[in-house]
Amino acid sequence: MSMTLQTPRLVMRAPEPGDWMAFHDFMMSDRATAFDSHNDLGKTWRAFAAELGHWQIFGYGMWAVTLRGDNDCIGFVGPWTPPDWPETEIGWMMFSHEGTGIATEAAFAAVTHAYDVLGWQSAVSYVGHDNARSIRLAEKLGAKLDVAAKGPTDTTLVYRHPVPKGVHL
Amino acid sequence: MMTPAPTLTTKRLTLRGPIESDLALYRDFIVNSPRMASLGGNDDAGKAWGGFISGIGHWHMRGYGFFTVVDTATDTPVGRCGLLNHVGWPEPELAYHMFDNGEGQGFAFEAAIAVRHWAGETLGLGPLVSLIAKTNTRSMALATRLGAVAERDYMHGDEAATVFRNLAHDHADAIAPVAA
Repeated sequence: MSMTLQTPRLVMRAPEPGDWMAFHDFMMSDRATAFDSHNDLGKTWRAFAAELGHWQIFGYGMWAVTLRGDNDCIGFVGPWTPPDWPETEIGWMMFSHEGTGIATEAAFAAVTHAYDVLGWQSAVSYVGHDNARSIRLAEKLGAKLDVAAKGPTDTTLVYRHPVPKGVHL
Repeated sequence: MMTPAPTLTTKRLTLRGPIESDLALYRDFIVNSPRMASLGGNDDAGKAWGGFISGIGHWHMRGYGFFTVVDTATDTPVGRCGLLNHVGWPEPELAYHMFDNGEGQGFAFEAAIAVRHWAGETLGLGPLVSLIAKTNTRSMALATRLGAVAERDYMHGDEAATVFRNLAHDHADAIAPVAA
């Protein structure tokens, strides 16, 4: 079974063991300071393995984002739903291609899929309060800060995604 | 996407890949069991979840990992046993931990024999190490019962441990698993 999301520039697919080095290089880099696994090889390995395990348990998870015509993973974007989190999340980590709108394109596709195919009633993104780039992406997607909603930690901002237009629930 | 785990059977046990319904017992073990003291300490439910799904990913990355050990008679998970090789491990490890409901019945011994045999016979791995915290006397006793011998001291992160070297699966003293 091969499940993909297609956008004008992207093919989003389930993560594969071969995506490990791309994930590793990102987590070890200065671009990943917002992540718990940053610069920690043991945590990075487990976090990557968890991406694969999430897919197996739920049949969905964060999508490996690839450019059309190239199987290299350039980021992970999509559903992340630990049972102890307050709500179902769309998360993102882009390894490269900053400033191209690719993160927006990928995240919008993931949000749409979550509402339309996974049948989610609501989707949030949990963003670090000091992560300006991520806040900008949430706003670009039309998500609204929900100050009343509870996040996984006290300092997490909760952005709630609107139901994409054209989706019939 | 399924875990590439085979199903191994012994006299009393079924060893199979992890499935979602195993999570509750695993989480309870990680969060509450006093025996976690010699396995890195208790952790919260979120970390238990992360450990559970990364354990599944381990199978996809390595082609081996932790089996869920199931008591065949009751169809209840009683622990985990398998081959562990996270980044930073010196080599693939024969590892085991029984949940509180699987203690004191020889289940870990029975499961470890089956995994040792599978690792050697099917994967061509061995003799395997077991990395055991110096405080974990019960695990050391089990390793010794399996025929493993202490080989050297080892710092596992910031924890003092001993590397035990297990018997090759085809060693004359290695007991073969007894199928159900």
